[in-house]
Amino acid sequence: MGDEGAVPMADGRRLTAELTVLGIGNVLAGDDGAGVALADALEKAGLPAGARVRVAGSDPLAVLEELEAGRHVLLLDACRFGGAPGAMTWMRLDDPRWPTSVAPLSLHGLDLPTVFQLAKTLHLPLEKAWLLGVQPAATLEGRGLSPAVANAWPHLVDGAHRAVRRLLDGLTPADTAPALAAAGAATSPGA
Amino acid sequence: MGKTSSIAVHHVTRVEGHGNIVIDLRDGRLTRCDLEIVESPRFFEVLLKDRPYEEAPRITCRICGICSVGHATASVHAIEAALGVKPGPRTRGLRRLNMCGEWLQSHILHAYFLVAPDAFGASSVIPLAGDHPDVVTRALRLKRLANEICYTVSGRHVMPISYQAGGMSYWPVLAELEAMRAKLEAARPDIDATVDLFATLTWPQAERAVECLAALDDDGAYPMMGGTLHSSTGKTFAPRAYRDAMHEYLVEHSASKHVKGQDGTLRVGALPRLNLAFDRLHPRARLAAQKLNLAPGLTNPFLYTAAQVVEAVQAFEEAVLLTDALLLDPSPEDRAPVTRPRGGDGVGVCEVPRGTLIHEYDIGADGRIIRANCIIPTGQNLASIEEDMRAFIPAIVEKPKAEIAHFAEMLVRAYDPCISCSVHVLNVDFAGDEC
Repeated sequence: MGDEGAVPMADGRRLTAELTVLGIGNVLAGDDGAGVALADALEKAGLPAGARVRVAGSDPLAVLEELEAGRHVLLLDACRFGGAPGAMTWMRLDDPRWPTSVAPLSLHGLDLPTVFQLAKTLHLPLEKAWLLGVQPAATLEGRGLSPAVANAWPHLVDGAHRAVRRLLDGLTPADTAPALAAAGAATSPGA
Repeated sequence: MGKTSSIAVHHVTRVEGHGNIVIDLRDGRLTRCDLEIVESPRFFEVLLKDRPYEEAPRITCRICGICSVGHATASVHAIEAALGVKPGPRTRGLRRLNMCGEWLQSHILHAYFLVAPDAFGASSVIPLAGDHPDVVTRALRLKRLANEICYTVSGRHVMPISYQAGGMSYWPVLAELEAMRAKLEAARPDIDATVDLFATLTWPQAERAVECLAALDDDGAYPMMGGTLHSSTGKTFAPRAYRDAMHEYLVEHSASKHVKGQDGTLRVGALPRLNLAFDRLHPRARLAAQKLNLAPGLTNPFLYTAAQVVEAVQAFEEAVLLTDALLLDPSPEDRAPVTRPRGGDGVGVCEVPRGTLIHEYDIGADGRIIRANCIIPTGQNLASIEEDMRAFIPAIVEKPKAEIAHFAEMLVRAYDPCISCSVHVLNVDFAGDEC
């Protein structure tokens, strides 16, 4: 897959850059691994042309690396946004309602707020980055998802697939939220 | 009457994990100088207990988001040592290429994002990005390149899950290798600019001769993939005899064990590696060392970062060579068979960005891990960091508290500690369990 070029859309619109799906978290910390597990599930199932999956673990700078390369980004991560365990939310990364990441995502003290500030300072387009967050039930050390998140899993995978397709089609958050809600697991932040 | 003061730096910034610096001065005399490791223990050795050995690299790579390739490497080395498996040259080359990606990623992160703000007089990378956006953007490009190397080699940026005894479950796609080779070539100006940038910086003067330790590759390559442990005292130790090379002990103020070498504290990581294996550097890395004014016999811990820049060049040049080798010989993977599946005890060693990483597993006849021991580079450096503070701070006790605190923070940061990795000391006793 090349780095440059527009991606043709079903309705003739074109996304001017490719989409990178970033799985965030650690599968040794319960539901904190939901983002990585979702990324793995998407990759296994196969993604539409124009999208690719990367596992970023605990590295928030990966968002900036992708934006600097001109790509759009979809972050998959566990987030406390006030929903029921296993519920899903999504928002643009420059949204002021940004929820609290479960484990303070940090690499050598470079946490997400620092990374966002860095993006603004470098004039990187944070509006091209999106979060698809999963409300966790438990993030203690240990392998495996909680029953609540595991029960919602088919809906979460389906919602993530829909989000990828919507973003590739160049749709806005308002366009996508109903699609996620239709998957039965979505919660609109602040709604 | 000298100065009496207490200095406490809670949660040293720009390091991985949580550590505090506590300094007490009484009548101008240093009475206490500790690096408190307050991160919660993580029990990752216990996580391995009773697990099938095949799972160990996939579990341990999640110990650390920065050293995930290193943990997978030490883990698979320990398994292969226990099972009597000798991987072929192509597998070894592929694993080394992955490690090059990790070294480049880690060293760039530390040099640009964590240390450079101090050198430029900035409080963090944010104002640095405002004043020198080209510098920070270059760092992002190089970090992305490093991640791409790991992705191409193992199918993942971090936390690789392809490490198996005798081989790799993922083999790179030829077209992706060719694309990566082109990206490497395109990144050469960024590597050169990195050396030029750090050659302009000045480092605090603080000399203390300390025992250096590194596992030197037995094939003569620059230390990276493990081998005989070499001490600057002249002693050498087989990986299995690592307990003779280093002695772990507990201190009250740290959730991480400390380590002593032959005569006292020891240093591991980029600076000791340069001291012990300078003659193994790639010519371009040696040229970088020359530009950075580095030569064997380094005793100033603040030069760790400069040594990391040299090693970033080393990792980059090796990545080019190893990629070329894979492109020139696109024959299938040379998987080695497991010849002794009934288990045994094995020690795996490798050099991660921060120093010598050791995993030891006792594998039972049923293929499950009975006991695991992991010795992390940051733990090996902690005692030396404290000794450095005790040696250097008396000379600056009359300076303002903020300056003393800043100096101590810079010193801790110079070692690039990964505190999250190092905290695993507390044993867990389960009822009826002998572990």
